[in-house]
Formats: sequence, C-alpha cells, structure tokens
Amino acid sequence: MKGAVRFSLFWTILALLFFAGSFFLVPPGELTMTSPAGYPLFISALCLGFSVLVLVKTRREGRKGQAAGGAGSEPEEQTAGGHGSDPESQAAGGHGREPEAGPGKQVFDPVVVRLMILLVLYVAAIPVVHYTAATLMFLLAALCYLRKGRWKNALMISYISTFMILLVFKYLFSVILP
Amino acid sequence: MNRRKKLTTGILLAVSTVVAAVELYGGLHFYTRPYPAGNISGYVAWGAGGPTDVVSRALSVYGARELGTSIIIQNKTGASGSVATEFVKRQPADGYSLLFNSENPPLYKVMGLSGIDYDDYYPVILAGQQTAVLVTAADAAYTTVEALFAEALENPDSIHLATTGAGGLTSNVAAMMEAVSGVSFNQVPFDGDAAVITALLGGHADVTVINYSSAVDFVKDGSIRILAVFSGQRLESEPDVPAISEIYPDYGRYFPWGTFVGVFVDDDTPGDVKATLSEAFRRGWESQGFQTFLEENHITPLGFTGEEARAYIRKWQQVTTWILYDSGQALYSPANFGLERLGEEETQ
Amino acid sequence: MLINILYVAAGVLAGIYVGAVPGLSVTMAASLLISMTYSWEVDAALAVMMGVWVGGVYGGSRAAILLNIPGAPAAVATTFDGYPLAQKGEAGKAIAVSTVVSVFGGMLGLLVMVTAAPFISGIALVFSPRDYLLLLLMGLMLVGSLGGSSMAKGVMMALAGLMLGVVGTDAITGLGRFTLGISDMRTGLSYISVMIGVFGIGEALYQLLHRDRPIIRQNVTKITPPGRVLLGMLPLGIQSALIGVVVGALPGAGGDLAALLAYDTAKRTVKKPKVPFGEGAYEGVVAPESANNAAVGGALIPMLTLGIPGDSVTAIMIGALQIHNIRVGPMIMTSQPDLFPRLAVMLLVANGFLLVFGLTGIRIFSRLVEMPREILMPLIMVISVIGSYSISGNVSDILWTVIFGIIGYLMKYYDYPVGPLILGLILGPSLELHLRRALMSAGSLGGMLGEMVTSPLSLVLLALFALILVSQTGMCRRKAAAR
Repeated sequence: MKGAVRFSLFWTILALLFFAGSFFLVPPGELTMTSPAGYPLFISALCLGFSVLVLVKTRREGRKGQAAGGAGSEPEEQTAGGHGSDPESQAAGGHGREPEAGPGKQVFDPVVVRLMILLVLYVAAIPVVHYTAATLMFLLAALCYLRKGRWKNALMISYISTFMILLVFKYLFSVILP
Repeated sequence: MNRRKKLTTGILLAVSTVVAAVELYGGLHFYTRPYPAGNISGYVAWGAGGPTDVVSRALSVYGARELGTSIIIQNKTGASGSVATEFVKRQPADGYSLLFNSENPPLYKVMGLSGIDYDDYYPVILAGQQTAVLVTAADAAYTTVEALFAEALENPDSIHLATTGAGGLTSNVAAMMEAVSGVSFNQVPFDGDAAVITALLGGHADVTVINYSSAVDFVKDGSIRILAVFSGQRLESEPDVPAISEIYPDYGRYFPWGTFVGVFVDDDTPGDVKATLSEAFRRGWESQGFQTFLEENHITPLGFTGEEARAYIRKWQQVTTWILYDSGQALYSPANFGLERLGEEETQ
Repeated sequence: MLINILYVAAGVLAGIYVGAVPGLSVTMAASLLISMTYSWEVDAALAVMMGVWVGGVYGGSRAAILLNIPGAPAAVATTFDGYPLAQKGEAGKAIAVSTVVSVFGGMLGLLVMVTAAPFISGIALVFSPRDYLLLLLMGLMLVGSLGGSSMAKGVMMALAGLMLGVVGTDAITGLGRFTLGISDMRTGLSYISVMIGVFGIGEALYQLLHRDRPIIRQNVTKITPPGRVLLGMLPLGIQSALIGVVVGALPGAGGDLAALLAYDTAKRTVKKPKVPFGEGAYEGVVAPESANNAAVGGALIPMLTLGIPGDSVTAIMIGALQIHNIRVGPMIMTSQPDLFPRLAVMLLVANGFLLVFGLTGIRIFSRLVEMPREILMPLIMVISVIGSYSISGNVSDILWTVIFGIIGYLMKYYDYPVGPLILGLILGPSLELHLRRALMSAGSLGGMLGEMVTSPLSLVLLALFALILVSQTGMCRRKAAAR
C-alpha cells in the first residue's frame, strides 16, 4: 500500500504548491476572483481538500488490507475477480478494489521501468541527434530488449517504422519533425 | 499468407529506403546550394483563420513564389504573440525561420510580457495597416461619439466595452480614449475580433473598437453602426462617418495609427540573406494578386522594408507605449527603454 | 463540380487516418490545406477541407476504440465504452456502429443546418459568458459518471485537471502563471500533449506491465452493424445529434464539448442499458460519435449566417475564403448565395463517403491491434512522442507527454480515473475565461448570480445544472449504499 499512499501524497503536494504559488501571482491587495490569481487559488484549495481526503482514505484502506490479507505492501492479493475489470479502471474508473496486482505485478516492474528510462533517453536524444537517428535507436533498443535478441527482425521493424512515419508526417502532412 | 507477408514487407522496405534516400539527399544538398536551399518555416503568432494569419498566409504565398521555395506556415500562438517572437529568435539565424506578427511586439517590454521584440529582428516587409473604428450595435442607445463619451464621463466604467485582451487593438484604443478624452469603460475581454462582434450583436457589450475590415460586412447588412473612425480623415467607403479628430482635434497627433502585419527575420541573419528576403517579399508584395487581396480586405498597403520599416514601427511604438503608460496599463515606463514621447511638432 | 466530389472523397479518406493517428489533428491538416490550395479553385479547397473535417472527427474513434487513445479530443468520450468493447473482442462491431452513427449524426446536423440555421444562430448569439460558464460546468459534471470506484478520486482528478490548465499565460492579463520562468511553458500544458501522454504512453506502459495476458482476438467476421440494435438506439442518436448541432453552433465550443455532453446526457437518460456504461455499452459509443459529427453541421451555422467561426476548423475555412478574396460575413448569404448549398452538398457527399470508407479497412485496423505487444507498444510510444511534437512544435511538450505518460501509468495502476483529469484540462481554460468575463461584465459575484436568474436562457441552464448536481449526489448515495 505504500506506493498508493505515496502517489496520493504526490497529488496533495502538487495541490499545495499550486495553492501557495497562487498567492504570489498578484500583489496582495488585488486578490479578487476576476484577477489571474483568484481562480487558481480557489481551484487549488478545493483540490488540496480532496487530495487530503483521498490520502486519508488510501491510508485507511491500506491498514484494512494489512489486517485482512497480512501482505501490507505490494504486491497485494487480488480481492475479487481477475484482470477482467481492467477496462473500467482506465475508462470509467474501476470498482472499489485495491491496486492492480497479481503475482509479480509490482508498479515498478523491471520491464516497465527500463522502457521508461529508454523513453526519457529518447526524448533527451531528439534535440541532439534529431528525429531519424533518435527514433531508430529507440526502436532498436526497445524491440531488442522486449523481443529478447531477435535483432534482425527488430532492425527491420525499426527501419520500416521510422521511415514510414517520416513519410506520412513530413512528406505527406508537412509536419516539421524535430 | 507467408508469401503475402513477404511481399508486403518487401514493399515497405523498398519505400522506406526511398524515403531514407530522399532524406539523405535533401540533407546533403542543403549545405551546398545558395539560400534558399530548402523549405522555409513561417511562424504566425496568431490563430489560424484570424486576420493576421490570413494576411500572413497570403503574403507568404507570393513571397515563396519569388524566393523559389516553399514557406511552410505554422501557427504558434500565445501571450499576445510573444511566444512565437521568442521561439523564432531561438532558432538558428539562417533565414529559414520567419516570424509573421502584428503590431503587438513593440508593447512587450513596457507590458512586461517579454524581453524580445522587434528590436531583435529585421523587418523583411510590412504588408499593410488597418484603420480602427468605434462601433456599436445598430439598435444601441448611442448614435454619436459625443453621446457615448458624455455618458461615459457622467458614469465612468458603466458602459461595457468588449476588448480582445491586454495589448490588443481595443484595449490600446481604450487607453487612447482615456488619455485624450478622459473616458473610461468597463472592459470585458473576449477571444478575438469574431468573439467581440458576437458579443456586440448578442447585446453582451455596448461598444467596441475593431478594424474596419472586420466591421465592414456587418455595417453593410445593418447590424452594426460605426460611430467614428480613428484616423485623420474619413474613410472613402464610409463618407458619413466622422473621423474622430474632426470632433476632438487632440487625437490628430497620434495618426496615422493602426494595426499592421509584417514578416520578420532574426536580426543576426547574414546581410545577404536579409537582402534576398526583402527583395523577394517586396516583389511579391507588389504583385497584382496581393495588392488586390489588400484592397478587397480594406487594408492600407504599406510595403516598407528595412530601415523605413523600423522608423514606422518606432513611431508607432512611441505613440502607443506612452498612451498605455499614461493610462496605467503599462507596467514600465517607456523612458526605461529609451523611448521619448512623440513631440507635438511631429504631426504628419 | 464532379471533380470536387473526388476531392471530398479524398479528403474523407485522408481525414479518417489523420483523425485516427494521435498527433495528427484536423485543424493542423486544414491549416496546411489553406496554403496548399491557394492556387486551386476555392471550391476544391473547401471540398478537401470538408472531407478531412468529417473524416477526422470520425477517425478519432478508431484509435479510441482499438487502443484507448483518442486520436482527436472529440473522441475522448468514445474511449469510455469503445475500448471496453474492444477488450471483449467486439472492436469490429464497435467501429461499424461508430461509423453508422457518425454518418447519421452528420446527416442530422446537415439537416438542422439547412432548415434551421438562422434560428440556431440566433440562439447562439444570445449565449453570454455566464451561459457558456453554465454549459461548461455541466460538462464538468460528467466527472460524476467517470469517477468510477471512488468519487473522491474522480473529483480530485478533475480539480487537478482544472488546476493544471492554469499553467501558462493568462489570456486576459497576459500574466505568466506557474511558468517557472521557462519560455516554452508560457503556452501552458497543451491538453493534447497531456492527453497523448496519458492515453498513449500511459496505456502502452500499462499494457507492457500486463504483457503476459493473452491478446484479445477481435471478431471481425461480422462487420455489418446490427440493424435491430441500431434501430433501438435511434432516439439516443437523435438526442445526441441535436446536442451536437447546438453545441457546435456555439462559437468557441465544438465537437469535444458536444461529445462529452452527449455522453453525459446519455448516461442520465438511458436508465437500463444492456451493459452498464463504462463496460462496453454500445450506447456509450453512439452518443459521442453522433454528437461530434453533428457538431460539424452546427459549426457551419454561425459561419454561414454571421461569418463567425463556430470552431477552429471553420475559422480556417473562413481564412481560406478570405485568401481567395471572398468576404465572409453576415452578407455571405446574399453576396455568395450559392455558397450555402455548395457546402451543404459537400457535407452530404462527405457523410456518404464516410459511410463507405468507414466500413472499410476495419479488418486491417483490428488486425493491427493484434500485433504482439512488444512491437506495438514501442511504436505507440514513438507515435505519441512525434504526435505531441507535431501538434505543439515545442520540444518541451514532448517532455510533458512523457512525464504525463508516467503519471498516467501510475494512475492506471493505482486506480485513479483518467477521464476526469483530461476533462478538467480540456474545459478548465475556457471555464476560467468565461467565469471572469461574466464577473467582469456583471461587476460582482452577486451581480452575476442575479443575471443568471433574470435572463431566461441563463435560468434554464442554471436549472439544468442544478438538476444534474442534485442527481449527482443522489448517485453518490446510491453507490455508497450499494457498497
């Protein structure tokens, strides 16, 4: 449950930052609803309130989970049903369940983390080596990693994808690529 | 299925290689041919379909023709055009990034919007200037400027003036009116000319100031009335509408004044590239097609390039920044930036 | 004239794919077309634009259904039920339904435009800032339907979306807010970049987490839409299309808001759907898709009656006309009397081609989704990154896309509803602007509230809003009781 609490805390801190920041937007005397600071102050205050509510609820659920299943932190046991309720969690929000789990499905699953790192490197590389090179390298790396070494296949897919995207975006739609 | 798959893959590979080759060729060629060796990016500081955008796109077509290459237009809106102005300045000063913007940048420094304005650019050409008019809905209570001003003086901030936001034409003119006639309105900001007119027609605002070209159609169909023209003389197409300086001579020293649209390039661009751009755009500007376009849209042709353009911009800047400062809309004094007031003796 | 029909067809085909790829937007394609078509005939230019528009608004639903990534903001609402349908293997049927319904909505929008244009534009003019405010607040209430498991989380996410929408430059005063001194931040967090990040990259990462789950085979043998089912949803389709036309006719409001409002209204009016909303109810696809295509006809109304753009694409069309020296204004009906019928015909033809093209390529698209995840997800990531850049042009926006991709992933993992966040981001900026305008115009909060009860239109909207709010708390209590 620790991760869930941490994530909830993230939103609380974010709301707090916005709330505090709103005070400095305009000189003290001008803090009205029509000023550029009024709305942000109001909304961030509400957000802060709700995020604290969520934080409290999350911690309470965490403690309940601890008492019931004895796990206490990820990975947690699934309460009802398998992953079948996934669609809801993305679309309209799921039922009242604990965070996704199943054997070995931690939030910082190594595969996911490595892809995240690759993504960040990709984005960092784009301004430096520009679209073509960066995309080729990213795709190659990602595919090789995910497909466990079938590098010839990965090379071909990366090659085709990079240039087909180039074709559509740059030559067809005149989009300026980085 | 396997054979079909192989065929598809083969085709894709072939196409990709063609694309790769084109890319490579284009890239290499870029460094060997003289300017312009490839496509130029044009960044319009305002929204697609809006007045600045329309003029910019039209101009860019004629300019591109004379340059012998394509100008790809992108809209980069935000913060009264300062986003685009800062963005283009950050691009390499090689003449492949052009800025299409209007009359707002000279106000950036005093408004505290940005530190980058036309001082950092070379004016390739100023396309045209528009005339501002004071309008109300046709069924409004005020039928003359005098009546409007009298009411505004008696009850300050009671009359609703629809504006296009800080630094826009309407709020600039509002500042002018306050400076000269002492009238102040309740300013309600909207998103651009179209929204302002809609507000007027819907009765959500009493009066506004817009470019004549935006107003003309509504005047013709009788839904809007022009109370006065912000210029030294009457408009040819509206002989019955008074020029504001006829009624209040004190306005006269500010004119000619109005919004303008131009093409700019980073001032650090090499001189020969600047010259190529100016010549090409000047030729494009002079073409029959573009002149007709300006005429149809009631835009006064300008055509200034280089130093002439700078002088024009500077005069506009002097007039407007001091108006804004005097009415309290500007954050900083124009004096901080070396701008003197326009003297009385400098009337046209 | 005949050649223009071909142009419309080409436009629709291109539009479907432009709309389907997140990162290619119809507005972008349209603004590209203006410059390209300078030397063409005006009609040809308009024909292609109309085609791209109609195709694009529909196209967004393809990616929404198949990948849970809205290809266009107007398709956000389509993900709510479209994607669950795909998860059940019914993507083919869902796309077919979406196609038919979109064409239906488009035709209905056209019908309204042709018959009631002056009437509708009259209503549109009466909308004052406080009326827009009420409309947007109603749209925001959709969060109640999207909150899912935890209302608190849903509301918080919506507020977070509103809050994040503040980042950037204040449109009224030009003041930079929360921009941390970085120039690129002055345009704010482009909601499209965030949307692409959360839905695209977030989803991709989430899918990789569950990579050992079997890939769902799509049932693409029976792609003809189920006639009887559709007939039953006719009233819903009409209702949604009407919402679409009216909202589309409001200058500054377009397909996105229309789709959201239609979805929300559908949830409130369809009491017992076969499948609950959010889990694959066809009604959840019918409503937004019908509305966003009807909004096309709606947006043309103010353009043709007043010369005022109904949304960003009509703004570009007006620009295109002006470049060809055709003045657009209230006189347009008298100075160009055949423009209206020409556009109406183009719209008709476009919807016709939409039906044809929309029902083709479904198999290929569905097969696309059956690609092994290890290949598809990195590709989606690349397209998300590139798409985000192509929309905004800032390299820093790509960074935001990735950051929100990671946040989106965490949200999906910890069961935080994503919809409300995007909802807040989309509606937030307009909401604030209209609120402040209404306050400035009325002079005070009391004044504005007073105006709300005295003006007939505002009163109606206020009553509707109150109704929705009350039913929200009712829903809340029922959910708590059910638990």
